[in-house]
Amino acid sequence: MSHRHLLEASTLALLLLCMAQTTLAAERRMVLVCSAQFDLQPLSALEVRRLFLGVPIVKDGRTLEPLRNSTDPVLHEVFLQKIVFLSARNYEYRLISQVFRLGGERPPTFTTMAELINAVRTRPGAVTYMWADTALTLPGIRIVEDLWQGSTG
Amino acid sequence: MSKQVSVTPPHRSALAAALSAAWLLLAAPIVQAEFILFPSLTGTEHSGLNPHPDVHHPSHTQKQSELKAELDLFYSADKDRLRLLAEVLVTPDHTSAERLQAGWFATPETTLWIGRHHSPLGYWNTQFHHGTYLQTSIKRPAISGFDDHGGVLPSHLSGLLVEGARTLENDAAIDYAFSFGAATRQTSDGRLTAFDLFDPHSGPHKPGSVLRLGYRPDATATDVAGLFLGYSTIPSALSSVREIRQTIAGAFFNREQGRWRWIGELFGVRNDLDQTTGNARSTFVNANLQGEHEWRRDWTLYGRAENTFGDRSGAYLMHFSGFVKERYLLGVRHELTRNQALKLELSDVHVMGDSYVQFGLQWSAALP
Repeated sequence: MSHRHLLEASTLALLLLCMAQTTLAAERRMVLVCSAQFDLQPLSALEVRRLFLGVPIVKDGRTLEPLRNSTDPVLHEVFLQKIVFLSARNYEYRLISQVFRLGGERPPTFTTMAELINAVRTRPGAVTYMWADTALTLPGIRIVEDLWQGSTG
Repeated sequence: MSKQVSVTPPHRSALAAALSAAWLLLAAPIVQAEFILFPSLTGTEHSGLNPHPDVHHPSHTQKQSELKAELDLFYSADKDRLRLLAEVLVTPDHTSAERLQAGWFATPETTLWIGRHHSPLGYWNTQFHHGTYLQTSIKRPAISGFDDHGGVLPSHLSGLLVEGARTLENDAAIDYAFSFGAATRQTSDGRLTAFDLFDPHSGPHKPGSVLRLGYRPDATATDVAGLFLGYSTIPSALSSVREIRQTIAGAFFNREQGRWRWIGELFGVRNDLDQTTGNARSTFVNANLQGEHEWRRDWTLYGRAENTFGDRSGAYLMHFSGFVKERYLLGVRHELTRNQALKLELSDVHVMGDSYVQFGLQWSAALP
């Protein structure tokens, strides 16, 4: 192979590598979802944050029940950074502190998608967050609103 | 801290256990419930302590060294608009129902409670109380000491509590709490003791009330500044005192910015004592300020200064010889795991007629 061909091949490989990395760092959307039977209107950013910090939010006479999605570490990290603006430890501390003072319970955490989806479908007022591309594939689940969009690469 | 020997009759412990079990059983069908354990193990060593015991108040005598184990059990359950809350403190010497409350949601952010609850005085009493893991330091300010453990103010009331928050248009919030119920009484050795739900006829108790208001610039954050006002009548079993009418007014704040946190309280206390030798008045001011710095990931440095001013007559505080009138402490807290902490603390402590250096080491947790 001549030097010219080698240079062309190397350049093409480099370009393909950059394209691959760009694809891996593609934009993703995190969305708030609820049961398809629940006609929940979009919440404000403040309401979403308060909801997942344990503050009661009532919509259309129904108390919302936040469910924490721990099925995807990247999703969970985006949730901490972009929704509640707290580190994992500080978030847990806030929830325990709130419950200790006022009673109630911390938002339950789900580590398997099957259990999370079942809870969203069956619990009145249940809401959670997930990637939009996942939500679109799940029957019985409705996207309420976009919570965040960006690159996770 | 003095060792408290349990005086709980056997039937009271059995009743408490039975009620706790019934509570949990009844709560079984309830979907939403929370159960948290707050264990702690604290070792303290005193240097320079007066070796002579307090002959007038034997239960107030400080020990040279002490190892204290505590387990605080917290339970809460919701059913529709009802909420139950229970907190039981277990030590090798004593088991007590610290809180036992039934609540009703008047609105999503306002709860009407009935039962034994934390008095909403100051910041420390409701924010941390027996949840030792939740507070950065080992020792809490003396002014917020527990009424059953040498504290000088009523830290519990039994009766009605209304508390809640109102979000304002600028996304700030007003927190409010109003408490009215049976307050503390003073025993023959000078200690305050709160109303006992399981032994309501153990002694006379008269009403007390507290109002607290707080302002949070951001309804989703923990920064808060507020005021509080309290009044209670304390029947006394001391031979020289019949009754104490206590008025409390003060302010508090909590500010978190970056890696720093500041907690401050200011208490003004007026005690009007109805004594066998004539009336007396004892007035003092107490202030404490704690600063915390998250030095590195999982490491927090902290320091606190607290002092008591006034009290020229000493007519009230003289019965609390173990009350820390002045203290300066430095400490470090390390997060062992997500929910366990280790604390190391050094204090310069001044009590009435004595002063000493205290070294403390504590392990605490919040499980699960």
